[in-house]
Amino acid sequence: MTSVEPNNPRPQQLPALRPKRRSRGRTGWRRLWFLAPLVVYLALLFGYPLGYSVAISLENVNLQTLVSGGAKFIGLANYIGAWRGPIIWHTFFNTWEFTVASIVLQFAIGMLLAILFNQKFPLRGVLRSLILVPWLIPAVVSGAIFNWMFSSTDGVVNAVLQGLHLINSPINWLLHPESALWVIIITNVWIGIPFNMVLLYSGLQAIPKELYEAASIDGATAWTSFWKITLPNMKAVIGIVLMLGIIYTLKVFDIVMSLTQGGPANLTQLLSTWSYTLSFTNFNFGQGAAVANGLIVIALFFGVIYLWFSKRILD
Amino acid sequence: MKHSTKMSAKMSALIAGTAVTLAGLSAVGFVPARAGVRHTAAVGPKTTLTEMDWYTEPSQIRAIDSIFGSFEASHPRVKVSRYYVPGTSYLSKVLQEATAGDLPDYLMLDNPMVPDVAETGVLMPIRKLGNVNTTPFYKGPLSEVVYHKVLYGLPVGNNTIALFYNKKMLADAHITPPKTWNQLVTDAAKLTHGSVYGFGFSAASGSGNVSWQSEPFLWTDGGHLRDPESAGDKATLALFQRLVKTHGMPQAAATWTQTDVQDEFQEGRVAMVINGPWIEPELNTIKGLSYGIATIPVPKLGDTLRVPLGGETFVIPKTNTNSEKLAFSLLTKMLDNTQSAAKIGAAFGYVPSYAPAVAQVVKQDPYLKVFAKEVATARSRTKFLGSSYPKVSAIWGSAVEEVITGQMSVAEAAKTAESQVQAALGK
Repeated sequence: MTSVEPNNPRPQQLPALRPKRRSRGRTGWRRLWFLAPLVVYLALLFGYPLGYSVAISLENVNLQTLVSGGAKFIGLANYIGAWRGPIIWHTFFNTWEFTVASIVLQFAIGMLLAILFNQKFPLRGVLRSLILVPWLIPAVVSGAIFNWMFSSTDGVVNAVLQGLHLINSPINWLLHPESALWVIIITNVWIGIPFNMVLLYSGLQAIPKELYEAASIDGATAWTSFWKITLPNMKAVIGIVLMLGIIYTLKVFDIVMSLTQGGPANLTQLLSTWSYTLSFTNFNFGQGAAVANGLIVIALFFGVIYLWFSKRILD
Repeated sequence: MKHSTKMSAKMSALIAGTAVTLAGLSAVGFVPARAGVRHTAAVGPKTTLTEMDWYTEPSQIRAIDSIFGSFEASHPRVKVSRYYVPGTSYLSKVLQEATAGDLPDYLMLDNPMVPDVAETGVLMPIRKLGNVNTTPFYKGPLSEVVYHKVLYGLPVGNNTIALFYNKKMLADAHITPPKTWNQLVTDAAKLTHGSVYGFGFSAASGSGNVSWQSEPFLWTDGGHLRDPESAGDKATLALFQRLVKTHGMPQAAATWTQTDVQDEFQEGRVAMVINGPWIEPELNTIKGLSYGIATIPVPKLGDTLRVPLGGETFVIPKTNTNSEKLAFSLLTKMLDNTQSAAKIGAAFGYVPSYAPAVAQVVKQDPYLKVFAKEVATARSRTKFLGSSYPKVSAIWGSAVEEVITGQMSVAEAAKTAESQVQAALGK
């Protein structure tokens, strides 16, 4: 008898559950109403545009059908058309190279600066605010400045390199697809460093100083402290920095438009600018949406990885 | 349970975050937000005629205001109210309003936009509103406002591009402005020395750059944007290749916008450039720069030069009979007579599309002389391609860049472009 009871606890728990369920009937629904503003907001501002974007990616939307209506449902033809041919794949790999290089460089430099500013030294506050400047400048302006700096005829980059006798004649940075893409990457890294630095810096500030004191008493070197204390304590911040960094980088548009406009010969297009070109130069809104939706899927893919990461590692 | 709620909250936040950052990329960003307050209109017994354009120069606005003013004087019960929309968002604004059925009564359109907008069926064929005498208009400019043989409006006036040359550099090299392609190649090579190049034009990607700047060469030689493998197209690509190979033109031209080209010319780093009359006021402020303007070289002497036309048009959207009739009389008053066509030409720095007004404008602004000569035989950019112009011209632009940057031979670039054009036109 005594051995049976613990194995069969249900009859005792059921009565306890019931009142809970009943309470959900009254206050539970009331609680759900508090979600309504958020749900409406998401549905209107995110659900509708996303749904619309998916809808037009399945129709032959051009200027005429956009204005007068009557776009036909054409299934996946836009996706097949948009994701076929050399330009889109070149663009895809450009986006890949651009994103990986930007994130790695921004993160590495941002981390080094965050560690630097975590030390105490004169003028620290002033310098830290100055580092934020690139973040405050509109990306179009930054693009124009870098365009000018990398100009082949009167750019300061060529002037310095020639002055140092590192090159004999000016280099056409924006002419060759690979170097042009790197100019775009460098501009984006310059813009992205403050963002990385600020978040990583706040992560560093949150680590209790006692941990470092205890480690140094135990004889840990700065290097060991970094790997054993700093990094493990910053997992959450690093995850967020990388996640946001990837989404911000995937959607970069204005820098390319002000530096190369995707040229020469479409060789520096990113998925974002190519989607824009398809929609607003070629007026092929369906294919433009098909490319943009591909970009959303890529971003969501990284989002899912982030969720997995935060669940497995952080919790 | 608790955990999974947390997950789904995170998930929705994530989806939202992704959406907010990316939604702007899809066409979504721009579809109908209603046009706004313009039709608050009829105050008292007066009729308000709404107008929309993108003009910003004080001289342009003064000319428009004065023409609207005299229209109001002769129509005491009508008020014309002008609305300005910046050029960068102009077409999308027009499309928004067209989608919402809320276009103004009297609408400016840049000439390549006319087929796009006419195709959507929102414009009024103006011959249904009254008689228009189109005989005094130049053929090229007039064809800008004709779509499928129907007349939708009238051209405001035109600009185009020509060869600007540095007088001192040409004199030092003992040459006169080149008249043929062969002369252009040899002269450009002669003028190149040190960091100075002989010739340059804007071959950067993007509208307003490579395709329209190369059209005078392409079209004069009988080529077509829609047919990159034709003889004229290939000969044009070969010309650019020769200019680069003989060092007459820098490869960097493939990264130059029209403004960059102007800078290079002003700074004395390029001796001859292709550009338009709009740079004239600024060139005149540069000390020590003495320049001339010549027509663009042609394949061989005697060929008829076909330059592309720039400049705006006015059209009448379908609204209601009364407004359409009023807009029509405003249109003819503004553009279909010598006096106001000349007034607009002078204020805008345009060659009037209304031929009888040209002499008066050129007399006042002699620098327009070469452009006036070119406009007489010029071609509307959308003449053959209509609403396919933007995508097809972009493909041609890529071919030019591939040749200038040396990524492809002339034959390869033409072949690649041909297959892209076929795909774009759905053949």
